[in-house]
Amino acid sequence: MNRFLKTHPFTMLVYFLAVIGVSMFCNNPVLQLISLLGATAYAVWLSKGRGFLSQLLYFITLFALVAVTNPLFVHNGKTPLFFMNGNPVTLEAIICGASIALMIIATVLWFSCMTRVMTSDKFYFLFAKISPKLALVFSMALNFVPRLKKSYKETEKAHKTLGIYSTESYFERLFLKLKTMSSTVAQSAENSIETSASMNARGYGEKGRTSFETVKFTFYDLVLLCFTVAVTIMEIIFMINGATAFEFYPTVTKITLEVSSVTAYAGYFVLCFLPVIIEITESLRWKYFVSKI
Amino acid sequence: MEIFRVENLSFAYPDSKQKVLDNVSFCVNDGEFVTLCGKSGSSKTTLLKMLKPQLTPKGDKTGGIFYKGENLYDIENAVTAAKIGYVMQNPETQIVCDTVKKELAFGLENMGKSPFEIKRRIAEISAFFGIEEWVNKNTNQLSGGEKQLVSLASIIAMNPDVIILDEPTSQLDPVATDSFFNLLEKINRQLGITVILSEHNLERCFSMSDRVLFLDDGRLACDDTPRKACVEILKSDMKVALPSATRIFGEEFSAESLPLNIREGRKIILDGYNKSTCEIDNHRNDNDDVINLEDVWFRYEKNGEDVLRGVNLSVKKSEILAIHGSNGSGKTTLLNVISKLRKAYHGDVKLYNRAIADYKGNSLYRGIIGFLPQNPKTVFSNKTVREDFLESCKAHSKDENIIDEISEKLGISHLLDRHPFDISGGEIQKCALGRVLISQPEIILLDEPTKGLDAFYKSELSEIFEKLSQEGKTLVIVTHDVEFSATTAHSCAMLFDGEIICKEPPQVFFSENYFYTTSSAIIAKDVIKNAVTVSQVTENLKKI
Repeated sequence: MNRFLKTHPFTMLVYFLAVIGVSMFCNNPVLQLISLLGATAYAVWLSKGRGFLSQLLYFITLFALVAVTNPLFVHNGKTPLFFMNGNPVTLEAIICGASIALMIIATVLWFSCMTRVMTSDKFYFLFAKISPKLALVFSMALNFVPRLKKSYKETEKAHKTLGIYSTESYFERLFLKLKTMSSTVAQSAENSIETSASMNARGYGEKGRTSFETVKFTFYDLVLLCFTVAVTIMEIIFMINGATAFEFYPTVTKITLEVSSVTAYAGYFVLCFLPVIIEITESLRWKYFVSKI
Repeated sequence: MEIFRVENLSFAYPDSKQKVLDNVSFCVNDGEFVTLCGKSGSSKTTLLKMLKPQLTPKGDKTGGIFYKGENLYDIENAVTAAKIGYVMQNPETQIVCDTVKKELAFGLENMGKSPFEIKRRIAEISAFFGIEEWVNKNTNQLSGGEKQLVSLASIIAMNPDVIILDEPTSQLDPVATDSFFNLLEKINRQLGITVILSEHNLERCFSMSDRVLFLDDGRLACDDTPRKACVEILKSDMKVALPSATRIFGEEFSAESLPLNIREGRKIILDGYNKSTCEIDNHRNDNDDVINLEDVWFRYEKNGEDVLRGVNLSVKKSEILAIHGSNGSGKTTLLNVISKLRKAYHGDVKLYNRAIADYKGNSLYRGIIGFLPQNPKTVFSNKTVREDFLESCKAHSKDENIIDEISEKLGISHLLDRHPFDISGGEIQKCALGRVLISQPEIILLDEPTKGLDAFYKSELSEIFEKLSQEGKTLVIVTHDVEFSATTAHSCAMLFDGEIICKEPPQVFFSENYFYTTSSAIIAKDVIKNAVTVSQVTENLKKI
């Protein structure tokens, strides 16, 4: 069951932009942690847990890399832990690095969820009327990668039997493979030109394009949209009035549990877990429904 | 009523003095089925694109094109987009959307039809084409033939007056080609839609055409009924592309009684000729075995189905073996197993009596095996053909003189400094073969080498293969092209259900087959025994 997948494309786009926007523009680690947890939960739901473990290692490496890099270059902060090459490595810089890393990973995860849910036809639906050219670029970019993969595999196989990869030098082999790659890209780009000719031949870009899949903007979409917008506005207000404000330098702000900040956290928590909440209630309803059949 | 009128049309591409179309005039009437033929490079595509404003190339154009009496280029874009349908050659690139349903709706959406009407058209068109089962499929799961059907259906859905098709079946196998032509005939006969078709294989489409336009070097050499056009084409080097029946009786019959299809040809033979037997050329070959396969089993995935189920095959030195079989019968897989790109999980694959696993690293690809893949473009990765050749020379430490030697043998010397992607289908195939030959392989594996080639290039390729065989090279060709393997191969094998069912000399193979055989063999069946090619039939007829 994928109820969230059937959400109106506009609501969906606003939802993802809101969630990603909040976690990108506020530097509060609590909000970032919530964002990360929400993104993880939805990513796991979408992939049914498959392949997530192999990604985990990649994310841990990314986290460590960013968290370590920041204190190496930023020496602000009041609590030096030790000195390296005469420069202080501070606790504040480490915490700030960790927070940035959280934000990056959360954003990557949200985008990976978004590409799974916002398929190319939804982009068409949203942009084809406003700008057919923009929609074309989107859809071509999305179709380009799988085609490229396929034709790269073919080209590589052909080149393998040509026996030109047989040189001993590692770098020469790498260079040859890169050249194969670039020729594949050239070929795929040429194919894309033909695709766009086929679109033009069928009248793409004429005024008054319709869409045969009538996507209705339902009450559910309206509620979802209003909720998303309301929470986002609330987060912005709390950010401006300082309830979720956060500083790393010179000292890390203490996280307090006042009414306003708790409200901000709770609101964002619900927003981030919304897709998972919707899916779970839906699958429970489905089970109940099936039991009646 | 006339659909198109073309008057004194001449065209030259920018920065080029050479006219690719020279003073072409013709007329296409409502409901007609017109076939446009000509050698590759005779500007068929350019002419067709001139009839579709959205695709018209830039260049120097003189003369006029009129659509229903109006100047074609003055008509609104929305009208010409819908009313003039255009199907392109390559099934892979002209599909736009990710599902079949959306692809069918694409044109209608652009025309601004209401969702209700679009759904209705999709329902209608999928019933007419018999493709209801696929409407919800992803387009990238379809085979080439299915993709081409969807492309045709999505254009018919816009309810055009005329459809223009540019060699639509050149990338398809014979079975898919046949069903495509059947549908095309149905569209023309039952819906009254005008068809303008460019084709290089005339075996199938001549008998359904009302008129044939023959384009020779940019000039319209002939515009007549198929029979009369045949007389004209028989005088040119295009004649190899004509239907077998026409070629067999072309010299003796006048235009009125010229046979155009198998049925007509067979009637003439049954009525007027005595029984005879054609001698069988056994291609006697006492050389040693080069390739040996014993009980080879292969599957792609651990829990998948077996693709090869106990293949036994032996190929002798300097033999040309053609392997036939339907789509998905494992032909390409077999080549991959012989070339060590894939590993069989059971059975022995031996080259020169040595297990293939003993050829370590890349040693197999250095002078033993050469592989020409289905898409010849994948062999190239540099800016010019010469650079690619030089790269191979360097990798195999060969002298650069070998480039001249090979290009002379293949007739590609004039192409060496061109970009590989700018070279036409027939010529790129020869260039790709050239690159494969630089490592001087003893065994050459070829995957569908005649795909998309016209009859002229096929006969050239056939000569080249014979030359290579005389030099002692062994060729294993996987192909759908029965006519090609009847004239070229020394032995033919049939792969079915993952097994080699039989391996025989082509004359035996094709005269023993009833259905999967050449047109000539069907025409001569029961009268001339063992004749399977046009030349074998004509020679025997002369003897009588």
